Amino acid sequence: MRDAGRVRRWLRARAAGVAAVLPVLVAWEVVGRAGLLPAVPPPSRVAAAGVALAARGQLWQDGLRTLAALAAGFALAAACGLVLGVLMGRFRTVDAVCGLYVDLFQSTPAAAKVPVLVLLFGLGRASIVATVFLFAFFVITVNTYAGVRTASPRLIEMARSFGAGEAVLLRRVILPAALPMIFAGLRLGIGRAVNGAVLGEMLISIVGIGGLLMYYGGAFRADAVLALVLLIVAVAGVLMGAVGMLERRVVRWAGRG
Amino acid sequence: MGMNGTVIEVSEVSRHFRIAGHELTALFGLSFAVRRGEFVSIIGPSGCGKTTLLRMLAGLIEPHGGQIRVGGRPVRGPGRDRAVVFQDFALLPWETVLGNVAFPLEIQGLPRGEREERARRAIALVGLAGFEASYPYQLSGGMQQRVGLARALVVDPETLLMDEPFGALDAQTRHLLQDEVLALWQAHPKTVVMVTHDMEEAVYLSDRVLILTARPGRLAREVAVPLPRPRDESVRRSAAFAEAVEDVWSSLRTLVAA
Amino acid sequence: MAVLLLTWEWAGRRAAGTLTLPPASAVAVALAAQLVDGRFWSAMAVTLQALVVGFALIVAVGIPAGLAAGHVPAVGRALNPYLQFLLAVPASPLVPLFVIAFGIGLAARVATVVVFGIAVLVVNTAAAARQTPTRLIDMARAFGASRRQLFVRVVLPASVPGIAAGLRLASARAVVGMVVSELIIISVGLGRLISTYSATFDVANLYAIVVVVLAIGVGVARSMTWLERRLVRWA
Repeated sequence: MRDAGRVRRWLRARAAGVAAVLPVLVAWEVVGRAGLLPAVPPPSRVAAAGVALAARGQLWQDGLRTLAALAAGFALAAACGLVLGVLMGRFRTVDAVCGLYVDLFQSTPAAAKVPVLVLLFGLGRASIVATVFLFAFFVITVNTYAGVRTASPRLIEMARSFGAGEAVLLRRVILPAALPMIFAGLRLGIGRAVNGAVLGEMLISIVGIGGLLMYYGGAFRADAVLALVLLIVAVAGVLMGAVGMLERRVVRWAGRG
Repeated sequence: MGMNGTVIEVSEVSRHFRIAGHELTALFGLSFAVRRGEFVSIIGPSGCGKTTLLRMLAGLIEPHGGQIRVGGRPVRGPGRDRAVVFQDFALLPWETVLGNVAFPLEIQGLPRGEREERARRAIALVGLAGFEASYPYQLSGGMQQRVGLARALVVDPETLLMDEPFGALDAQTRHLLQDEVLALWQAHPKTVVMVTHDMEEAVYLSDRVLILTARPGRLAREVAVPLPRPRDESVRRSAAFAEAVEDVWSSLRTLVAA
Repeated sequence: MAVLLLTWEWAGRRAAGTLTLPPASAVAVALAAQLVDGRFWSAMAVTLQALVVGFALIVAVGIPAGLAAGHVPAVGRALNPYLQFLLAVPASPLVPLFVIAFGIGLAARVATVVVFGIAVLVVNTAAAARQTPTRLIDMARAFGASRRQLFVRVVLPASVPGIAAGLRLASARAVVGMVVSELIIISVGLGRLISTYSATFDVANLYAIVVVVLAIGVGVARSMTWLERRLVRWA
């Protein structure tokens, strides 16, 4: 019963969106079929290109390559970001030493640093993993730091008054308080990581999904490019959704869902 | 104009609203009248629809049943014969004191010179001369509400509608502003309808206090305040004042307890 | 800061002979040489051209679109799916499409800048317009404001903080768009210098150009923060 109501509400909320998108899709199809604009293939051709890509083994092979670089880079970024964020949040000296650089890196475009990564790590896989890391690391660090700083000083004092050491304090008071911010950082981070993985592949070595993008772009196959873009969007969406689900399971006390 | 100088006529007014799919009645079958030059306060338990009533008098929302007439004509929207003083001041944060007070005249399309001159006079009237170029964030709450008062007075309305005008102020500031409003009103008589939850304020300022019931709001009782005019601060310490407040309080208590 | 520079210098000197990390002093020398080189400045001008034209387009289209979306619910509902898509999609994979559509000239780079930056400005502007405090709207209506007066004197100024924040975010993303287009569409500008130096392993100059690009990013961010403070002095 409740589920049915929820589904209906969801559908009604989406109906407005569909109503807004549908005419544009139709117009797009018409313009695309007329063949006036080379960069605007009709949606039906994009769908067909997507199916054709999926049917060939190449997409899976390249997709797995991209996902592997993404997983490695993101895991590193999450682990390092969490540790550095906590250290900066807890220790004034670490904050003073690292804060400036984190700020500087966070506020300048990560893409501009990719050429330097190529010099440091060569034209291979390591550079792509490093790009993913660079894209995701700082936003995770900054959010973790902010989360740790939100832990209530009163609760910290309370725990201290009962004799809690730094380890207990961290595990029982500070990290729980920081979790919502940490997850916000992870969610942003995974989105940026996808971006970094694709961009890295486009710029560094023509492999993976990014490589396919460059290949089809060079071949003026706008339909295949768009199909790949939609695939990337879907993957990013699924990954961000997964982080969100994990968050809801872990942060139950925050009064969500 | 109705008979006996009646300016405001509220007859059988109802208004509903919806919260989370539930239909609630804010006001039901409410009727009363206000005479020209009278100061009337409306008081009642929270949720009795006082502010809804004031918004209807201002023409911001319409009654779902019944009718409101001001100056003999049914209210169809905001009008120049009424001006509102808002509870949370509602000052434009990007305008100076002068810009805020001149705002209603700007809307009426008056030339700049005239509206600034009239605004300056209204600002002086509420004791803010010298603060014309200040921005709202630079003023205390009491000063901000003086700006709100000047903005309402600048259009020289026949009727002043005040929605808990001193509700957001601390106790001392509230007393000071009450005294000033009283002095202003005695010097420039206007019809005033004030919504408040402060019984002493209602008694101190008003000729009549209308007490509304809890939701749905309807008229429970009206108390004519037996204090002589002109009043001043000394009234607050009189036995008659205490009695009148006690009278209002006993009515309210039975309403809240019920 | 000094610590990083010293470490960098030390590591760079130790790695002397390898190609990856030039000492900081070498980069400084290369940077100084670039700054007096006419070719550097013409490359810089070409790069900034895409940023300036793109950002001007973002402002000219984004603010009116945002105000319309925020003030007129129907427009907001119609635009929302596209804005959400533009916000969610990583924009760099779209660059090959712009190359197909516009070639490898200025137009493709401008399109990249616009697509990177515009959605965040529209969304921020729309949110600000939509969240105009109801008490201010009530106040203006109570004093008899017409729809036009309400928009010009209340909704528009109330949206200024949101517009300013949107401009700041959009400018940061526009800079990213500029960098990405330069790197992917390598044709002219700083992107061309980067790819040349990187192909010839001229690492000191490569680092110098990267430092310049980062400095552009910082400069744009700083000036936008300044602009924001100027615009919202009354808050």
